[in-house]
Amino acid sequence: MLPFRFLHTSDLHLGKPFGVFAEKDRLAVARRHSLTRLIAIARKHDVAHILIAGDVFDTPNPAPATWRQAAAEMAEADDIAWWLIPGNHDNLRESSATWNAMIALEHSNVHVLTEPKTVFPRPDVALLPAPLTRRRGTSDPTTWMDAATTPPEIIRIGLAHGAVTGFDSDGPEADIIAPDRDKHAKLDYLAMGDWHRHLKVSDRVWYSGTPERDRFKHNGLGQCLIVEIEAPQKLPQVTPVPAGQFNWQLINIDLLPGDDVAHKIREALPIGARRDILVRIDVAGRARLSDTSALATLEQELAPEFCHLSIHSKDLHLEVAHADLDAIAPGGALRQAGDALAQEASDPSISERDRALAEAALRRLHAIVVEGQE
Amino acid sequence: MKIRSIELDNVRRFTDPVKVGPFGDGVTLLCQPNESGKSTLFDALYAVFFVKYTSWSTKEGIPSLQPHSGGKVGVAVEIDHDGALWKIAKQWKPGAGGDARVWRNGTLVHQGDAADDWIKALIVGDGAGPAGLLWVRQGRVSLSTDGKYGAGDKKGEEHEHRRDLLTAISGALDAVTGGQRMDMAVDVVRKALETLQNKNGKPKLHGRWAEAEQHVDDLAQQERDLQDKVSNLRDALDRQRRLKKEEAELSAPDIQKSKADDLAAAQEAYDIASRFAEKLSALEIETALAEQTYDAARAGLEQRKQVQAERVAAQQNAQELNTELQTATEALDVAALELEACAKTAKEMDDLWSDARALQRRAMQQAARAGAVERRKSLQKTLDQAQIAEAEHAEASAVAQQGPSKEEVAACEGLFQSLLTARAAQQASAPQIEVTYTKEAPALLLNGEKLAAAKTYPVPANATLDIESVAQVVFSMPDDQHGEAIAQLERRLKTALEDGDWLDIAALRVAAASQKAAEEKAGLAKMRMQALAPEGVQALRSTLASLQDENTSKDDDVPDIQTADAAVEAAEASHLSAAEAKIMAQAKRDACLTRVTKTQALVTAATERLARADIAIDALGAHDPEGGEAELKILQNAALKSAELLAVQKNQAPDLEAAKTHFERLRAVAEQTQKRRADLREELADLNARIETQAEEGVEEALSDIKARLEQAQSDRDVAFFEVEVLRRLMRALETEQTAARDRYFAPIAQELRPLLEDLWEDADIIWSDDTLLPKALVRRDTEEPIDILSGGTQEQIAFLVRLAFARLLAKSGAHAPLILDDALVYTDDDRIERLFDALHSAAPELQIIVLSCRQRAFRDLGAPQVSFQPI
Repeated sequence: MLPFRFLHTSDLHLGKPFGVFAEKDRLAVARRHSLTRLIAIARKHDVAHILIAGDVFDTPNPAPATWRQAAAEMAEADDIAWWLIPGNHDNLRESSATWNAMIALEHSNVHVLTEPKTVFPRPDVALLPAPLTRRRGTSDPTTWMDAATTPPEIIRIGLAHGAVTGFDSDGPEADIIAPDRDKHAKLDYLAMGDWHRHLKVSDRVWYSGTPERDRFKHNGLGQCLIVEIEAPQKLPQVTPVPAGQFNWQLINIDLLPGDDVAHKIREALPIGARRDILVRIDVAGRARLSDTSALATLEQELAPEFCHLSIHSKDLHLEVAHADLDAIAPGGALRQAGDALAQEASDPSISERDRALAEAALRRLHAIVVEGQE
Repeated sequence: MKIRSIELDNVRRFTDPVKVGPFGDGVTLLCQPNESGKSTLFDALYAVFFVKYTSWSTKEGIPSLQPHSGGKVGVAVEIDHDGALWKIAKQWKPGAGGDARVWRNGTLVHQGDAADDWIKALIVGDGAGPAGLLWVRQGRVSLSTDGKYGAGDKKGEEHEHRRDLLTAISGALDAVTGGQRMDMAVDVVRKALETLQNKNGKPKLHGRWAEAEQHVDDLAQQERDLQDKVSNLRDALDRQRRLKKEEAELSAPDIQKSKADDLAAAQEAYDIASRFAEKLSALEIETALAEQTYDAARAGLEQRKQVQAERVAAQQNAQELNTELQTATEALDVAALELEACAKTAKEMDDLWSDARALQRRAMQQAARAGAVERRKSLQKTLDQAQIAEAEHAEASAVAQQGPSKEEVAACEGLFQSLLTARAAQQASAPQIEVTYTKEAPALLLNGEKLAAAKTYPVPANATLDIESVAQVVFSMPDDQHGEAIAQLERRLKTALEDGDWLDIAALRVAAASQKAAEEKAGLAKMRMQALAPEGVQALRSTLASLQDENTSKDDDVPDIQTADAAVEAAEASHLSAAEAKIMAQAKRDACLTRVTKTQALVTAATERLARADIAIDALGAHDPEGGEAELKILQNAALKSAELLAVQKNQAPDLEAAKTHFERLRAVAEQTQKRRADLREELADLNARIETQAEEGVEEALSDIKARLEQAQSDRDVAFFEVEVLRRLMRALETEQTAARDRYFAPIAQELRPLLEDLWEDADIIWSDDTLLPKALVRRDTEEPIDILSGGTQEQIAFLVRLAFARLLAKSGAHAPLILDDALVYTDDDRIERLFDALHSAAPELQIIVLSCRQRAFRDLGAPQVSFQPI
């Protein structure tokens, strides 16, 4: 028996829009090209099968251009067999029209698995798909695999989409699929989708993650998994392979009064081609009045260098020093106004919003008077 | 700082150097006529303190200081400051040239820009406290700008206000109110707010806030539209799924075969039931026929019985009616006789009534004749009276014809009256005679009439007076006109009387009276005659004569009229009674006749009925009662047997209606299924096209995009609104503190000013403007009056006192600022100017006040040392 090698991926979310980003077109193009990159990876690793564990499309009824382009690209790569199951985003109930249309194209190398029925990518390999029929399931779609019989001495691979039990707060949100399904169903490998970062649940159960990231939830590039199963009951060899174009980075920075804000932020910025990096910097801690202005200035300076860069200081608290107020005015009405705002910004008896307003007003006053901002 | 002297060199009219001074500590007066150089001195002083030596701009006014002959403009000032004597000298020349120098106790300490900086620090202050000068310019009637800056140049105007009034205190004021930094901050915040909100605090059109709001609204609308489209798409997909499922169920071969088999079975059952039903129908007809035959036979028998009974009844009826006819005929005969008798009696009574009426007429005629005799008697009597009256009339008329005519009487009476008049006139004009008799004198007779004693008598012409026994005296009157007239009248009267054969006038009158009486008597007779015989006596006679011709005889057989009337009445009653009896007899006879006629008709009908019964009996033919009953029994048995057979067959028959209903239902189902499949295919085709169209738009992807963008837009909108609120909060903080600072700063100024104001107006106070820091209104007797509407005199007095108050405040704080008044009291009346002089002098121990004025007479009473321009 030859080892069975395949590419495991999921959550392509083709057709997902990025309207809130200035460079939404580049992000959309990169998403469309994720199939191209997967094909290239497959060929590079001498893989003839690509298993997509759900959420090929972002919406149940994507624009025809979206699914037709995808179908065409899969079909053109005729040296590769594609095995697809509907996920929660493109579940059978809501996406039947799309799936039926793709099936109707009858591309011989594109297999849309809409039924929980064993198929055989190779005579010695059984693929047990668990297509989702609804957006939110109420039962484990992989249960049927326990009773699914296959010829002896055959590699059994499960293909499913959804959350598994046993994760901590960083893991998937719902508890549907049994994480030990591989044991009950005697699977050599369970290829999972839904989680956008690759994740090893157990030796035989893996989430591939999305090949192209689409949010700041997980840092880094999108990936896929190259899986090799030498023989039935052998442990699979799983290799994560970068597959994404854009690097999404969420950076948390804690500030203290006296920190060199600009230096600290610049140091935290990711290395690489900045035009393909999206950065969100969440600043927390405490800062001086002058530092808040520095943040805004820094954001204006850095943003154009990246595909996206934004600094969020919602959790950054102002620490007002006498020197800051002296800088506004050593005395007189202007100083009185600064004092009043500073006092209000730290007054626990007023609402949080009023404190925030006073703090922002003080920052603005400082920016106007001290930094000459208009 | 205190000014000690001022030197001008080549400044306007002072082409040769002049010096003004010395200026003491208190009030110093420079009182010169117009165009003697006071304003030049003022402008020069302004230039040396406030205009850089390098400036030669029209705006700063230096070129205007240059005389027509040109050359450098030079100004120098000696001041006391910090316990030293300082000299400041500046020179300006066209272009960027010039010089500035400062000496301290005769030693040059600053030159050029350094000198300018030192002067600026001296005047404006460097934050350490106020210093400098206070100005009130010539012609300044109000506290507003003097027009140095163009209209609309708000910044320039404000600058002018402050430099004019607050130059000396600007440093301190800025230190308190925030100064230019505060102004700049307020300006920036205001401008930032103005880009975001309008005056009402609403989002400003095309502003970032408004755009953010609009963007959210637009995206929300797009989201709703897309949500609708997505819902439509999903509904269509659901519908498509259901239809496909239904179509698949309907098209399933096993289901179709099952339905076809059911339909065939139902049709066969229906055919069997139909055939059985046809047999049953024939049997029903046979049964009905047997029953019908039996019923007909039974009915024939019943009919024969009825016809026979009818004949018996008809015969009996005919007999009864004949008897009734006979009785009625007899009654009719009796009634006819009774009618005849009644008619006869009525005829007799009618004749009797006619006779009575004739006799009544005759009685009435006889009574009429008796009335004519009485009338003739009356007429005769009347005729007699009328004839007497006629005779009296004739007699009286004859008498009346014999008397004088009315013309004769009138003529005689006229003449007589004239005569009497003439005689009276003669008598009136005649001499009078009165006799007094002596004793035993003889009587005098005038014209034979004895004259009584003591009585006056007229003496007519030709009168004769006889004295008895003595003489006769004749009186003659030669011109006795009356006598002639009298005589003529007497003659005419006499002639007239004689013509009528009357003796005198009295006789005439008697005759006239008799004639009148006869006429009256004739009139009365005529009237009586007319009353008795209106149509004349002759007519009366004719009437009487005609009456005498009528028959006045009386019939003895004619009763009186009362008797006749009673007879007529009795006869009429009898007549009426007889007539009534006749009518009743006639009615009775008519009733009997009717009865006879009716009975005759009934007899005829009964006869016909009997005939019809006979005919019917004949029509039925001969009849065997026993044979008929047997035949009827046979028919009845046949009908019963047929009915029993029918009942048995019915029990065995299948339910045709059920079979038919079942078959038709299955056939309808089959047809509906076919139709439903066709409809489904059609609807699916439409649905597919619709889904394809909607899917082409990629509405779900668009909706996902819009949702994210809407979320971002809402966040942007919140950020924009937060910024608005931040700016509002900041503006509120700045304005609050600025106002509080000004209030704090102006409090001591107001305190300083109040006693000065009260010298002029009781209970007066000043309200300050937050914008210009200048007095805004004067409050008197609790009434607020804007400065702008006050009189020119009041405005310049307030300007004067405000500056004086500032100067006093500065002086109390150790900063002496010279107060320079350039004809500052142009409009002030003599009384007020005296009080202002008092105010100046009361401030003089603390201040240096330089007064420039052309009002020599008014300022003569200022009581201050004077200075003048002195050539150097």
